[in-house]
Amino acid sequence: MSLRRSAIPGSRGLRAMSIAVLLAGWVVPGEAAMPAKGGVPVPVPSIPRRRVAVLPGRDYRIDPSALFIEGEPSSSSDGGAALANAAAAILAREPEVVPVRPADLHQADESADSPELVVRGLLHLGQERYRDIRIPEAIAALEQGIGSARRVFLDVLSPDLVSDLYLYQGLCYLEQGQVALAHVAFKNLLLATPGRRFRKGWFPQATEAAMRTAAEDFIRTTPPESLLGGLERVEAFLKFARATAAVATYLTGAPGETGSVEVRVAEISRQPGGRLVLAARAESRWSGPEAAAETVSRTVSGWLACAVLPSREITEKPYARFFLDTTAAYSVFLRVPTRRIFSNAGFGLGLAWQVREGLDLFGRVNVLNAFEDQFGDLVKQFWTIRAQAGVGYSLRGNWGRVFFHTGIAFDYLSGFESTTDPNCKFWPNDPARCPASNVRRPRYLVGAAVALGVNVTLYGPIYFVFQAGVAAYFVSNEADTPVNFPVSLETGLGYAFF
Amino acid sequence: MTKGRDLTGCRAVMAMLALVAAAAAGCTDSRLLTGVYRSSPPAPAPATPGTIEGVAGLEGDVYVELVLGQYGTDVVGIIRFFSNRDFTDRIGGTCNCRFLTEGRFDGQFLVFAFTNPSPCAAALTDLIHARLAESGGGDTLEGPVGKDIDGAVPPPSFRFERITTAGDLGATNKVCDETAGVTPADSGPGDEAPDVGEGAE
Repeated sequence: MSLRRSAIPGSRGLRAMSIAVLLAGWVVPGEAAMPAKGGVPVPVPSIPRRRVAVLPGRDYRIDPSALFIEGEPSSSSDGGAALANAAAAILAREPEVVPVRPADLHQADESADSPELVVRGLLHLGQERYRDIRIPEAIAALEQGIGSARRVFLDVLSPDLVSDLYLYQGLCYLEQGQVALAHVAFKNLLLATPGRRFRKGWFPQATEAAMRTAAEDFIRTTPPESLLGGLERVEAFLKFARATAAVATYLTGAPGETGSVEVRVAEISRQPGGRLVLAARAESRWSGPEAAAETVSRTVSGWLACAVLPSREITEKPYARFFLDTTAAYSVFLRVPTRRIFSNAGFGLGLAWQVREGLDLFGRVNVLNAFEDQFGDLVKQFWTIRAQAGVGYSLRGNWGRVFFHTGIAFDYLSGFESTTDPNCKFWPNDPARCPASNVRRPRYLVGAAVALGVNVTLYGPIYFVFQAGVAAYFVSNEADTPVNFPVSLETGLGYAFF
Repeated sequence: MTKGRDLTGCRAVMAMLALVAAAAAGCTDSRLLTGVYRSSPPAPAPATPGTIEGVAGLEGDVYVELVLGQYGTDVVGIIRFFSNRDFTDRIGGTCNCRFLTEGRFDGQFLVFAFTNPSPCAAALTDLIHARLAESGGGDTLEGPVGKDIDGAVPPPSFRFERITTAGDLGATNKVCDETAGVTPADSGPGDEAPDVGEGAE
């Protein structure tokens, strides 16, 4: 007894402790999930965000006379980079946009088998062959490197590498005396790195002259739109960057403090086909870095105000509003004046108007021909013209829709005559053998109908339809509605008007 | 779960097929016997008077025509009596025709009755029965016709052959004026001539 008494409090304590542990286990994660005050920022729940590529800002205000400088050339201050930074800053303020900078893509591809390593190897190979005066081999390696670099957009991600490729390509062509090809190579060099400068006296006079000429020609002839070599390449870059829009900023015009600020925003069209379209464009005269940044900011903000962002995206597919179908129909009346049910077969024509989500109005007409029953109680075949109208309730998806229709039904029976008296069948017009009361002749029936059906999309607006329905008639030209409760099955094809 | 769903689907399909089959049953031989039949060879004369149980006028050679309408198991129609094998001469003193009653066809045997045509009285309740076996896809009917077809001595058998099918059956084939033919008919059966004789009951 004493043992039992002593055991009970222990048991209670253990149970209480278990409950406390359970409660603690429930509460602690909740506290851990609470935001830490002044600590590490709590990760924001992920929301759908649109990736927008920010192409490198370029300052194309090249001064050919300043292409070669005394002393060691340093990375000159690039006004274009500031413009790209301004664009990225504006984009970063929008929670539903992820600005994608070349550095982001570059970092994401630093694996050992990176194409950049291959290109760099080809550059080194080309440089060695150039120094060994094995010019054709050098050109082959450099051209291979340039091709590879362009395929993986190293002119955007690693412009210095591509610039070197073009530089040595141009030098090789000059060695070969192919001045025109060298000219193109030097222009490509400037396209990739317009801010690049060279040590004066490092190259022979002729080479410097050729490069200077290329710079002069670049200013005159190279349109800024050819930043990536055309729209198709921009499209490819967006695919590569998994972005749907790109912002390009650059400075053009005369060197120095003059020139223009230009901003372009291109995005993939949401129309079928999804081609690249110019969504925003702005140009202003250069009047200082702040004003240039303001131009970029204004242009990008204006585009963002109207851009399709995930929260503004119309996710609901524009469903069809009208459904027209033609069907083969089969029907039997469950209540008949004949001793056995008889078949009715024909066709149907239906139209449903989806008034709003889940609700539609419908109208339907069936023309059915009756077939002889087992005992020949139908004196003759007859036609049924059945009209139905009402409202429907539907569920729709990409696959089609399911609907439940309710409405009024009207049947016109053309020439219905039935009797179970064989004398009336053999002598239908002989009142002596066949009293009129022995023949039923319902002509019209009015009642209510319900139907359950499904539309399954086959191809585009064409769909397969199946529906089953039943009706009950309350009004007839005969008092007891001798024909009633038709069950119908219909199947066919339909067309949805989008 | 899937199996159960499949079974449900199977049952639904089977039910639908059964419904269609039941409805299609109306397309079977529900009109097999509809048409005009004539006895051939001529109905044999009764071996002894009373083989047709004393139907006056029908005891000798009698030629019988049946106009049948079959509706499932129900059979209605007319039976006519002639004295010559051309089916032109009515038999004097008897009704020219009688309506069949209680006609039934079970798919093998056609059973019917008709009011004794002799004497030709409307109120007569004396019935003559027939049980004819169908053969040849409804082209031939053969069996006894008499007052007591189930008796120990069955009445003579009649053999009928179809001469008109359902499609050719005209309205005049169906006319029957249950009056006595007092004189030989002046016209034959069929659409071209009236089926009824003249005279009073």
